[in-house]
Amino acid sequence: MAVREIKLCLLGDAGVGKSSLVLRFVCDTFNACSESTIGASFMSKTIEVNEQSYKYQIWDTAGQEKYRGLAPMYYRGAAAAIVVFDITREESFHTLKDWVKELQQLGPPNLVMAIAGNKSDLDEMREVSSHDARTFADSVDALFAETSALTAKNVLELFVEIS
Amino acid sequence: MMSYVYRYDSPFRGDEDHYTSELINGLMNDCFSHLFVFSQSNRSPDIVISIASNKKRQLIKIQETSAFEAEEERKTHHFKEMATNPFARPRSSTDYRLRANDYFNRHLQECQDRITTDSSENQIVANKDIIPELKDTYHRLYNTQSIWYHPTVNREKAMEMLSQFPKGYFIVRKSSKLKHPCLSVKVSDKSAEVNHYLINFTDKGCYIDGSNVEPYPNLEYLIAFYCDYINAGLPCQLQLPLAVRKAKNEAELATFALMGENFWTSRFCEAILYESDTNSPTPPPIPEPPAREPPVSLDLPPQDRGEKSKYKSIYLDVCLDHCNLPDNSVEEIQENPLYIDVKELSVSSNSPKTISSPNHEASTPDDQKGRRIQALQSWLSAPKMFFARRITANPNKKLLIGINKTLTDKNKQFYVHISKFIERYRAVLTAPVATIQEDPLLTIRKFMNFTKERFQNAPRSEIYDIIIFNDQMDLDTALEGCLHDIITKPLKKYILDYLERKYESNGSLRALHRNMNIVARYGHDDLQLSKSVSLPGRKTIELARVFFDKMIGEYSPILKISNLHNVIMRMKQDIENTPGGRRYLSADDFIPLLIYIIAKLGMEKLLLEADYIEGLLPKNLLENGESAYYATAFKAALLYLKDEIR
Repeated sequence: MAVREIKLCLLGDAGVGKSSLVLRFVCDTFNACSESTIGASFMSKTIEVNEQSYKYQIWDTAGQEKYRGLAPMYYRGAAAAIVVFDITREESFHTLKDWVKELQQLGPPNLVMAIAGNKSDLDEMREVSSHDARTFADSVDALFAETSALTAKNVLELFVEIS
Repeated sequence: MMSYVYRYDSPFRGDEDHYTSELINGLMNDCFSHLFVFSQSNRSPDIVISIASNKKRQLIKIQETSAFEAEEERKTHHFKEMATNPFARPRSSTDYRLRANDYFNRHLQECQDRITTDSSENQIVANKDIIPELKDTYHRLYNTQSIWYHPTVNREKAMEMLSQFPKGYFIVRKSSKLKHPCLSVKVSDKSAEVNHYLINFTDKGCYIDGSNVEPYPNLEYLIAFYCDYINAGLPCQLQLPLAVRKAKNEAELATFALMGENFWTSRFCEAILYESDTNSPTPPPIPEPPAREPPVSLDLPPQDRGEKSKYKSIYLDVCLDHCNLPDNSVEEIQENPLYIDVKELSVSSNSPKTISSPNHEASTPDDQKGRRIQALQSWLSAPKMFFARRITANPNKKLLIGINKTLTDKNKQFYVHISKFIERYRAVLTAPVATIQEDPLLTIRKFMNFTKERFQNAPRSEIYDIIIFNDQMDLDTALEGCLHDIITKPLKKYILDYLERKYESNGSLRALHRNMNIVARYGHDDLQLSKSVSLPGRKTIELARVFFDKMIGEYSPILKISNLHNVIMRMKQDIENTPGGRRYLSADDFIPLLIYIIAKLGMEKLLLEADYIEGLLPKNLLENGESAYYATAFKAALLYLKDEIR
């Protein structure tokens, strides 16, 4: 069985939990039999979906405004991108919209986009409503999930859906 | 005054002529004072003991052990069986090796005395300073046969022996039904599953039943092949026990080999169940560590020259795993003794408390030391894995030699094409920058791809016969290495010169220099690092300088990347080892940290290196995997420093 490699780029403001989201996916114990690598801001993980193996190569990027200019080097040639925002910080949702716009203009063709509203466990501090986020995701043809790296909610599902 | 005695149990009968002379040539290179070979005679049921001295480099005594045999209860039926089956060896309680062992112990002193008196040179001393480093798996296998070859072990026993070891651990035993040697391999880390493969012997050599690999002349070569290759056809790569893989010289291997089967239950072969886990590589302690230098202490001031050379030697150690090196660089490596001794570190860190609690908050001096040692160990082991498993599949030497011969044979068309290309590109690269239209690096890479393709489709007459390869991956990896030796190496100077002129003429180097000075004065907040991450210390920066210097010295982009990898692994360790540190270096911190380190070093030439790597790295490494990510991050950091500082 051939392994399909998926280069996946992670975008989003600093501090929205990009890394913890992916760490959750890569380290999750109930997938213990699959191989994974944790490098310095690079991770890879193989999972099986419907009897097909997918190897995710996850390219993390720096979220600070200052380093935004470097992102195109990272998403070049990517098959998928997860843009992450923090549901408790409205500002991060605005940055997300910029990212999505940039990906639509400059990103590789046929890029699968997914939007993750992270920190869904902090519902009481929410600044971005689920509805707004979903409407936006639909409008740009992106997958959408509200995730929580803390409780692992929807994390694996999101990755599976990308495949 | 030290002397090493090596004992070799030959697995096959009638070896005294073949194996003994081979052993003497191969093993007696100043490693051992005395060599004893125990083998089964093909002329009589006797065990033959061949004894040699390293000073004489020749067999000085062959003693047929009729006398010894007479002492034992003779079991003739075993020898009858042997007459019909060339691979059979005595089984049952009077196992040949046990008897040989016994005999060896009893007569060791006597034999030594005899050698000393026989030999005209009485000072038979192996100086450990001249013990050569072990270079390949074959060598290790050759020296430790008593560990992995167990003709008396049956299927059940093999499964029991291997059950507690990591995947890839193996022994060769004799199939009880078919009287053939049989390879038993642990194939999983998670379960006790062991697979068994019959080994067939023909006139041409031996091979694993059902495989389509060319026969190998002997068992060691066959096993070495499956140790060195990832996709060789077995469910996993074979692995020698960790202690054997880490042994630094033949004397250490001999220590293990003397233990024979007992090795598996000894302390050298335990607690390594998940040694592939990069977070806890704790090599088992090894006896009598050669005390060349005190263990390295990370507390030494980084500017200390001695310290610097030690760090260099870490790199060299790492490099030894990379068999793609051209001959001269191997020599260069051997000229630099390796100062860092992992074994010493592990010996001094055998306090279980420090090992088991890396995140322990207490900071007693012992704990700190343990943590440092542990950090260094895992740091040392990480790049090795990178080499051995991810970048090069460790193509076998034969293949490399064959490719090299084919490409450099003046009578073959490859040579003509390549030398013409090199000549032309020397001229192209020295032309004024403004007149160069196409990116020359792109053209060089294209030419390499083209040569690869032609090589793979070339008629048999164009290629040296000795080239055997198991799958396309191996050939590709080996070809890549050879092409860098043949094409990139002579062009390196010209490429870098061209890049330098290019960046000088458009002012990039000046801008880079200025911006590096600015960023070098940046603080934590200017870089926008997360609160829990601190700026890299002086040690890390100096270490980075060593690796980047080394990178500049390399011509192979693959080796350049591996130096970058070393820098990055050090950064990762720094993060993991800060108190309360995280186990993952996020890109939010990694990218600014990398930019800062490069700026702090003020090495503008790294911009040329980034282009060199990007231009000449093969496509699969440039677009996929960890190496690709780091190459991108490196280039991104330099472009940021060049263009984005205002």
